[in-house]
Amino acid sequence: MHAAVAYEGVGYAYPDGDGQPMWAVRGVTLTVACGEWVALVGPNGSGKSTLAKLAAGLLVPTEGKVTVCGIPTDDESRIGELRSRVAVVFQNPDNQLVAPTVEEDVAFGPENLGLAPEEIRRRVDEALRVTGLSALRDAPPHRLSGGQKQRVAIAGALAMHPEVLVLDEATAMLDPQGRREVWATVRRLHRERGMTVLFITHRLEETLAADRVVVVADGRLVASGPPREVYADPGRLEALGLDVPPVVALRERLIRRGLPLSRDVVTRDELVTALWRLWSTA
Amino acid sequence: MEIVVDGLTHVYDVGTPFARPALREVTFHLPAGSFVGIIGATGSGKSTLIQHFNGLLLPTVGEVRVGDVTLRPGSRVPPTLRQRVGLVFQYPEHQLFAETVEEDVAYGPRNFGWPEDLVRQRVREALEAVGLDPDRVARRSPFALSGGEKRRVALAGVLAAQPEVLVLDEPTAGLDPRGRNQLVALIRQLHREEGMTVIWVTHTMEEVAELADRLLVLQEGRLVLEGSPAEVFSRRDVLQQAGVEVPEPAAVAAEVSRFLDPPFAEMPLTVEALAEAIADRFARRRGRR
Ligand SMILES: Nc1ncnc2c1ncn2[C@@H]1O[C@H](COP(=O)(O)OP(=O)(O)OP(=O)(O)O)[C@@H](O)[C@H]1O
Ligand SMILES: Nc1ncnc2c1ncn2[C@@H]1O[C@H](COP(=O)(O)OP(=O)(O)OP(=O)(O)O)[C@@H](O)[C@H]1O
Ligand SMILES: [Mg+2]
Ligand SMILES: [Mg+2]
Repeated sequence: MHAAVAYEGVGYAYPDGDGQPMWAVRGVTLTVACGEWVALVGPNGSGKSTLAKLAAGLLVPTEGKVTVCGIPTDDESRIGELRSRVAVVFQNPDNQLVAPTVEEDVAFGPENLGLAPEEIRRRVDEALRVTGLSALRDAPPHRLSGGQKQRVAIAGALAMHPEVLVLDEATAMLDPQGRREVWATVRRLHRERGMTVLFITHRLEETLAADRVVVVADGRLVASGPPREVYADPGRLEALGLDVPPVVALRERLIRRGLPLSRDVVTRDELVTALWRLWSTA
Repeated sequence: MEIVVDGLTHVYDVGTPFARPALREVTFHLPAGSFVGIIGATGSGKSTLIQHFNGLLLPTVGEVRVGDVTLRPGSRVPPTLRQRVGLVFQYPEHQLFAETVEEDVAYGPRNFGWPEDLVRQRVREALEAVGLDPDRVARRSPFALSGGEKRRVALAGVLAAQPEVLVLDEPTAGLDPRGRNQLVALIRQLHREEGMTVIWVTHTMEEVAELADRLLVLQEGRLVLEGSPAEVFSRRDVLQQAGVEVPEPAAVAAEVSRFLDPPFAEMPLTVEALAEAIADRFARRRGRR
């Protein structure tokens, strides 16, 4: 069994203006298993998007090696195969929108896979439906609102039926409802098709459902573990420049005010249940 | 500066098959020095509305008054309006244009003809204010930066020009939590100490619950609700129609309130207020037993 994404001793340096290398990622060794959901968090400029581009084969490591579903990303003869297995949605959708209409834009990836027209149609319809874009299918993508553009980029990635989906702050401009809808769809594909997910975000509440949270700082991996473990220690998170989800912030304030709450509590439901228990026995 | 919007309708692509009103007969009044949050679902018209405040867009019908400038269909936009009303775009890439970060942030001040050493000082201050190290980023290309770093440069560029009105379109999207907290503190200070009028568009209700003194809710181009955060977030029926949620602390409060006796009279909107309210209830319950 291949890992979905394997970074082995990976370093990446962008050339700066004077031809000096600027290391954005250094010494990263990380294996994302097939069917795993990994949340990647870290401060601005810590190397998250660079890691995403390395996984998609858009960047080739300066040092070390990246393999996706067994395909080395520097093997140019297998680039087509790589593109069919991994899809990335980036922070800014503008760079990804290519076609004159929403529908053609979403069909662009599947067409490049050489699928039968009926299959393309089916996938495009489904992707438009789950992203709530059916009514905008004939609109030109560059004339949409910020959140609508982001939905088009997500629909394009979903229509690829990728084995590995990388979402790089892909829902940052969506309203909460839209964010929840996209989330539910990606969760379903993860569960039903075993799609591997690499989820990059600054909203820590979006990392709670992950199998694993990986924290990067200054281009290196600095922490990794199940969300509950990582969020049990708010002091450590703060030291890393991160914040805690609102529910965890509330939990900490209540503990400080003397309520005996467990540090296992991280979601809204868990907190409400724990408070209800305390209230019933107070 | 005071902003008055009167019967504003905006239609993109008038006369094409795509023509659809993005704003419909919107009317409101923002006193000088207010801190206003604009909320609403994806595509509800927020970005379209705020681009009228500095004349990037002009009304199709109606008028927009910003201080002593009145914008109507076909109006000529006085160049000083862009200086007085600083707008940070939803996507920083729509704003960044220069070859280096320094030139980008200095663009406004240089254009106003400020002396060069003052320009340099403002650029340094603005970069530092958004948490960037001028010595490390000033000579780099703004396009060869991470997403959050681009956002910070775009913010610095607008701050350096010291506008009277600051219009921010989802300013915290892409910022890390520390950067977000720094920005919130900075804008709050500019509002309180310099009396800057601030207009803040966001999908993060916790931000406006904490910051704004007034909220406008848009739904499909119409203004459907207006008031203080407490007023607006108590109208769950209207918010649900508009596809807007309440801040997470208010959502927790509503659920906790179900088993409290009596329930909360008013839902706390911030983490701090909610923690205090819950702790208070528990203390009183223990006291009674
Ligand atoms: N195209 C580029 N050219 C040169 N340097 C770059 C380029 N893109 C990013 N960098 C630099 O590489 C480092 C890592 O950037 P990256 O985009 O991976 O960060 P990130 O973790 O995604 O940050 P953010 O949270 O702001 O999106 C940063 O120091 C950044 O300035
Ligand atoms: N340049 C444009 N040309 C034509 N139509 C546009 C353009 N920009 C936006 N629209 C349309 O106008 C409506 C309002 O868009 P606007 O960008 O103001 O929404 P928004 O509230 O800012 O949404 P979001 O939260 O997604 O950023 C949408 O239906 C959108 O498709
Ligand atoms: Mg990034
Ligand atoms: Mg917008």
